[in-house]
Order: sequence, then structure tokens, then C-alpha cells
Amino acid sequence: MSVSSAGSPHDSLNTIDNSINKAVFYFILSAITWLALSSLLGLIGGIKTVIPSFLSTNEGFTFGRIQAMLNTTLLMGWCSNAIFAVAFWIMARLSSTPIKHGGILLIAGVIWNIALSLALIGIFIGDLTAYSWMEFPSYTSGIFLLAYTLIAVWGIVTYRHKQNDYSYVSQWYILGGLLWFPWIFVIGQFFINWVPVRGVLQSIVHAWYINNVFYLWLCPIALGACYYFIPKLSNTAIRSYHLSALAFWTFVLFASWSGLTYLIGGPVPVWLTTTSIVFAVSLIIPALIFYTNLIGTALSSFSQFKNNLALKFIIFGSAAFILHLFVKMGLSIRSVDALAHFTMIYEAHHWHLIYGFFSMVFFGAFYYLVPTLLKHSYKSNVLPNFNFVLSALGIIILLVALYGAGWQQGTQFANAELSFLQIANDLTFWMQLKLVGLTILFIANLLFAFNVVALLLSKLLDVLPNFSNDEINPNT
Amino acid sequence: MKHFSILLFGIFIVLTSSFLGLISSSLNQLGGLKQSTESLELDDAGELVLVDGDPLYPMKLSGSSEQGHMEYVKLGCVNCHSQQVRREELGNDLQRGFGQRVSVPRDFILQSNMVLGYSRLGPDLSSVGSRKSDLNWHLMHLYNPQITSPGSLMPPFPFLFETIKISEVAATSGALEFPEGSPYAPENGIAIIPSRRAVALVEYLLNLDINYNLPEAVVTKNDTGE
Repeated sequence: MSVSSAGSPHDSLNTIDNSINKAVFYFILSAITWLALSSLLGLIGGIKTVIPSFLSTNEGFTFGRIQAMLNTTLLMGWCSNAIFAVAFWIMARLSSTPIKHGGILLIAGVIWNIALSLALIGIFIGDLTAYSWMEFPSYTSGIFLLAYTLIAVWGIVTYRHKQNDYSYVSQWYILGGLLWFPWIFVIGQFFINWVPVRGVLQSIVHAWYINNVFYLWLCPIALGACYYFIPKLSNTAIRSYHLSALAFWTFVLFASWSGLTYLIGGPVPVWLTTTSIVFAVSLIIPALIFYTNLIGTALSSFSQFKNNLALKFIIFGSAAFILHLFVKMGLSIRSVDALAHFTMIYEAHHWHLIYGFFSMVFFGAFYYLVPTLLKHSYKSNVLPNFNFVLSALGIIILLVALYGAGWQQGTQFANAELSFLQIANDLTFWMQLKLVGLTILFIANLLFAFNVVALLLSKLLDVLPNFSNDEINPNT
Repeated sequence: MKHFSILLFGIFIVLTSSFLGLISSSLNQLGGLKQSTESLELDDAGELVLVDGDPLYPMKLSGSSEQGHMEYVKLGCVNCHSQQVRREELGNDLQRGFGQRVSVPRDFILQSNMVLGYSRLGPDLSSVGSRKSDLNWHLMHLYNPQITSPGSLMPPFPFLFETIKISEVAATSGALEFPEGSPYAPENGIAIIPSRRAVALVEYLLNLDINYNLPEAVVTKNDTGE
């Protein structure tokens, strides 16, 4: 798969790219495999909310387990592998340093995926935990942690040994994300699985865990990618770059403290949720800076935006993210929460982050990364462009369906005359719309996987005959 | 590399502060909660009195209810059902009868697998045991929710039940009692028997009830409904 023979050996960019080629491709292929599996699980879950008896005779396929497998494949499969692929490459590029010991990275990646496969089998046979986004059985958490340590250490070492004196905001986000994740993971596992605290304390740790995994693991890396790719692909400097440091520190601090808004109105001390509300609303400061830094930069070079596929994905993702932050601020207000709590608005909000922001940014990153590493570009942009249209459409339909469903649920909850059965029945339209969105996303994700694999294969087909010629005629 | 140390320090402070501020402090505040020995009830004059000799609240679950709780976790019921009664200004949980009082932290101190819930695609189950106390209804509802609640979005759990020929087994007393003429009823001579897991799960559901008095959360309505 590696194409180390191509390019001049003195070209430092090539050296950097080649240093992690195998590992990056391993992570890319794992990421798209898990993405495909997660969209299949999402589709099954979507069908089940329209036809509850679908696939219900087998215990492993019951709705709760499908949901648990879906969350696990998305978070630990697609998101994590995509992060490993992109974060190391950006880190190496910006630090002008090749990643050393790419082989260990590869082995660690294999261990990570073994842990994930075990986790999915565990969930299927009923070893899931009661906590969303950490449903993987506790016996796999140690393996995840081991693999992660072996992986992350190289990113941090690379930054430490960087060959230039610059330090980019992208690097801060990536370094932060790489350091925060194991810590969040250990705290979550420690207080919930290893030495469990009791009662609502678990719910508090759980809310903190979900929030921090989302906003201090997925978001920083995706933001790092935005800050790297947007100026690079649109050939302009980030607008108001001097504010980006402020955005970094305010975002990570406020987001980390804002976690307990998930528990508004629950049986927890009110001061806890109030504190989180204050921080959640304060997210308006970084949100406005992100708007200037990311969207502002893109708008100032609109013509690039139209013609550059990767940039389109990344700008869509950035816009979705800023919208996501405003929804988060809104949801933290008590009167809004009174309507939104327990509705599908929260499900929508999670999809909004993972698909609308994270996945779109990483699709864009992959569409830049894969051709660059292969030194082989798409002959025609039709399929990748179609991928963008499908993904964007699927996400918009899915989010409209879920936010709409949640809003309707919320207004109906307020009417005590309506039974829950009636409320669930009235969701039919929205659930069907959700299924349409999930189906489009399923096709879009398969198309994405196809595009990446097809480029890889076409490169291999280009390279292979040359190898065989070389062997036959070593003198030429 | 001065810059590197400052960055690392900042990264460290961000997460430590939110851990100390949100998790450590709540461990501090709530970690010491114990079961209550006090029990408050309304007497005839409508005044609160302490009753002696009452059991501890919240009560420990029986072994088989505890097993039912594990089934609840393993089947992912928490995806669609919550177990918390919210304050009046945040919804009409009390009006809907999800409980006769709001949930408080002490209600949950014995649980090590919290299923507080975050979604209500189905109703809240805080006090489902007192709302629906019919064992057969719950078993039937698990076997196929369409029998008891037509149009429900809840999946059926047929794998928690066994289908047997009546002649084969002497004791079929535990078999599901289907309503007359139900299209979901098995043919004559066939019985649907709940597995031990189904019975444990229903026993757990029947035991869910927060309509007891705690010093900080008093049931406002008289238990007898008078």
C-alpha cells in the first residue's frame, strides 16, 4: 500500500508523509469500515422505530442493543480511527517532523480494533452497560486504554520534537484532544465500572463523561482539522487569527464545565446544573470567534469554496458546528429544557455533532488526505461531489426529522391529557422521515467508502505493473 | 520550550478544574447519603407525623428484582424509559402520575447501575409498580406490546418466552393469559411460558415505586387516596 518509492527522498514533505503512510492508511480503512457498519446499524435502528417488530426475534438485535452497538461503532470505531488517521498527519506536517516508529502505531491500531470487535460481540450477547456512549463492556476498557496509550504518545512526542518554532492553533487542539481523551476515559471507567460510585453520582459522572468526550475529544480534533484545512485550501490567512487563542481557551474551559446541563431538573443538586448553565451560555464567546475565524475566512474566498471538494465538506461541517453550539446554549436555558428534556431533541443534538460537524469535516479531510498521500487524484469529481450532496441532504433531513419529532414530543408532553401511547403514535411521520434521512446517509457513507477504496485500488493498479516490470528487467 | 510547558499546564488545568468543580464536589456533597429511618405520613388531621418501626427507605431490592434490574440494563430499556420524576415547573410528571412526589438523590443511593434515563419515547417508570400492578399485564406487554398497547413503539421481546405444547408439561400455570380473541394468542394446545428472566424483569418493574416518604421528599397525597 505504501508508495515510498515515489517522489524525491530529499523532499521533506514526502519523508513526513511516508513516515506514517502505512499507519494512516490502516486507520483510514478501519475508519471507513466502522462507518459503513455504523450506518447499517443506524438503518436497522431507524427501521425499528417505524416497525417495532423488525428483527425482534433475536435478542442481539433488540433495539437497545442495536443502539448500544451503533454508539460504540460510531465513537470508538469511525470517530476514533478517523482521528488517529488525520491528527497524526496534521501534527507531523505542522511540526515538520516525521512520525517515528510508525510500526508501533500500526500494532496499536490493530489492538484498538480488536478491543472494539470484542466490545461489539460483548454488547451483542448482553454485556452492555447502562450508560450511553460508554456501553462497551468494562472488560474491554483496559485494552482500549493500552492501545490508546501506544497511539497517542507518538502525536505528543512529535509535537515535542517539532523542527520549527511556530506553534499553530491546530496543534493546540490536537495536542489537547490527545491528552484529554485518556483522562476522561479513565475517570468515566473508574467511577462507573471499576470502583462504582452509587446513585445519582453515577449519572453526574456519566453526564460529565459524555460531554467531555464530545467537546474535549471529538471537537478539538475536528476543530484542529478546520483550522488547518480552511486557510490551506482557500489560500487565505485565517481572519482575526489573533482571536483564535482566546477561542481555544474559552471553548475548552467553558465546554468542559457545561456538561451537567443534561441533568437539568433531575434529582441532583441545583447548583451543579446552574453552574453548567452559566458555562454553556458563555460558549457564545468562542462560537462567535469560530464564526469569524472559520466561516469568515471561507466567505472571503468564496470562489475557492465552490470548486474545492474537501473545502465544501469542511465548511459545511464548521457551519453545522456553530449552529450546534447555539442549540447547546439554547437547550441549557431552563424553560427550553422544560420542553426539550427527554425528547428526541437530544438525540438530534448528538447526531448534529457527530454527523453534521465531525463526520463532514473528516470526509473533507479524507478527500484531501488520501489523494495527497497516494499522489494520485480522482479522474472525475462526479462521485465525490455526489457524496457531498448526499451526505449534506441526509444530514439535513435527519436533523429536521429529529428536531421536529422532539419539538412535537415536547409540546405534547406538556399536555397531560395526551397519553404516551398517543404521543408515540403521533411520531410516525417524523420517524419515517428519520428513516429516509438514515437511508440517504447509509448510501452516502457507502459511496464515501467506495470512493476512498476505489482511489486506493486504481493507484495500486497503476503501480503494480511497474513493480513487475522492474523485477523482469532490473537494469532498466 | 517554555511555550510547551504553558500549553501543557493549561490543558491540565481545564480538565482538572471541571473534574474538581463538578465531580469531586458532588461526591463530597452526596457521597454520605444514607437510607432513611425516619418516615413521615399524614395523619387524619392532615399533619405530618413520624411513624415508628417503618422499614428503611429506599428499600433494598430482592434478589430476583436485582436480577430483573440487570435484565433491564442488558436489554437497553434505558434508551426509551426514564426513572425520574421532575419538579412541577419543569413538566407535569406529578399530574401524569409518574410518582406522587419528585425524585431526590436519596432514592437512588442503593443503585450501582443507574438507569436515570434521558429519553421518554416510552413513559417514565419511577413508580410503574404502583400504576400497573398486574403481573400478567406486564408479561403480556413484554411478549408483545401490541397486545396491551396497540400502536406502541416498544419492541416485542419474544426471546424471553418459551412456546410449549400443553400436553408435554404438567404445570402450565405460569402461562400467559391472552385476552379473548386476541390475534396474538397461540393456537389451542400451545402455551406461552415466561422464562425466569422475564419473571425477574417484571418483578423488578412491579417493585419500582417511589411513593414513600423521605424527610426531604414527602408524598403529598394520602396513600389510601382518601
